[in-house]
Amino acid sequence: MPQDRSLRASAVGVCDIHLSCAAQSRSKTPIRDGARRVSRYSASNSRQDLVAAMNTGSSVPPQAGLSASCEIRIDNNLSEITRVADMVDDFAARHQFPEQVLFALNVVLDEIINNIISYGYEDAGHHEIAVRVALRPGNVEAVVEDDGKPFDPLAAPAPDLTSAQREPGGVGLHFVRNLMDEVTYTRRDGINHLRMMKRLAP
Amino acid sequence: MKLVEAVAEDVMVVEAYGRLDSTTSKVFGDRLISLLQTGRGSLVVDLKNIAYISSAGFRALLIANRAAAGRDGKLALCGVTGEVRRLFDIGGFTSEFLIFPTQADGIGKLRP
Repeated sequence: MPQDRSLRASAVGVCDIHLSCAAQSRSKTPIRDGARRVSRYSASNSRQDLVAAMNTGSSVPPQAGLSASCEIRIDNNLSEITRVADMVDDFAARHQFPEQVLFALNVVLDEIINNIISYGYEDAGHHEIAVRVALRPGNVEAVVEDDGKPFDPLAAPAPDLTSAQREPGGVGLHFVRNLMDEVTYTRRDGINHLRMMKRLAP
Repeated sequence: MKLVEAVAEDVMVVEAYGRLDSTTSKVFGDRLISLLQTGRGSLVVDLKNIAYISSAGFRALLIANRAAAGRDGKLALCGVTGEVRRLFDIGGFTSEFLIFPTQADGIGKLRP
């Protein structure tokens, strides 16, 4: 599938210059207050600081026109979502994402990862989920990869938003489809790949 | 996620801070239920300072809303603006809740 291959190629490309967010997130004490977390980086978002930060995260120097990305691998445990949100908050602060983009990313990653951890596995064993966030010209892309059951969130039925005694189930994927500008799902070699794109300008 | 609780004009007010997501909403929802059961039966929940809310947070709010109604109480929300408001609309939740512009409006409505 051509779409399949292009996703793989772009993901490998940005990883060459990724920041050291994954290593940082593992070593830091979790900070639960997202707003406070963001403010820690508000003073260091100049271009020079950004380049310096990128250089410390990789042996490959950043090149003009290339995008930046960060990546984290988490266990199939709901508490791990905190580490993902910490990474996204850091990355968004460094790159001055618009508030609504950060909000949308955090919501959709919570929905997707919660869904994978809660319903994605047929065994009770340990699994890893990879989460990458990449900044590209004009947009941000989040990729989530898991080795759970094949599941296409785009194929899930839309929730009934009108029923009086509605259950909130299903609304999470409805949020994903509404908050993102583009969502693509592929299943390859036993792995679910979900790519979600959000434009920086509304 | 952090909750700041206060009583104003005999109405319980809870201000939520930070993330209302899969990792925090259980504690959030349990606390709302507990306050509804032990307190005055009515509650104003201020969402002005949350970083974001996912479907797990909405689930906690819906359950608390039903618990309040089941005890002849009321759950009022305020601070539902910007992206949070947009999610209420996308999810069809806006009509499910009593929503007021400010804490003072909610307190005024729920005051015994």
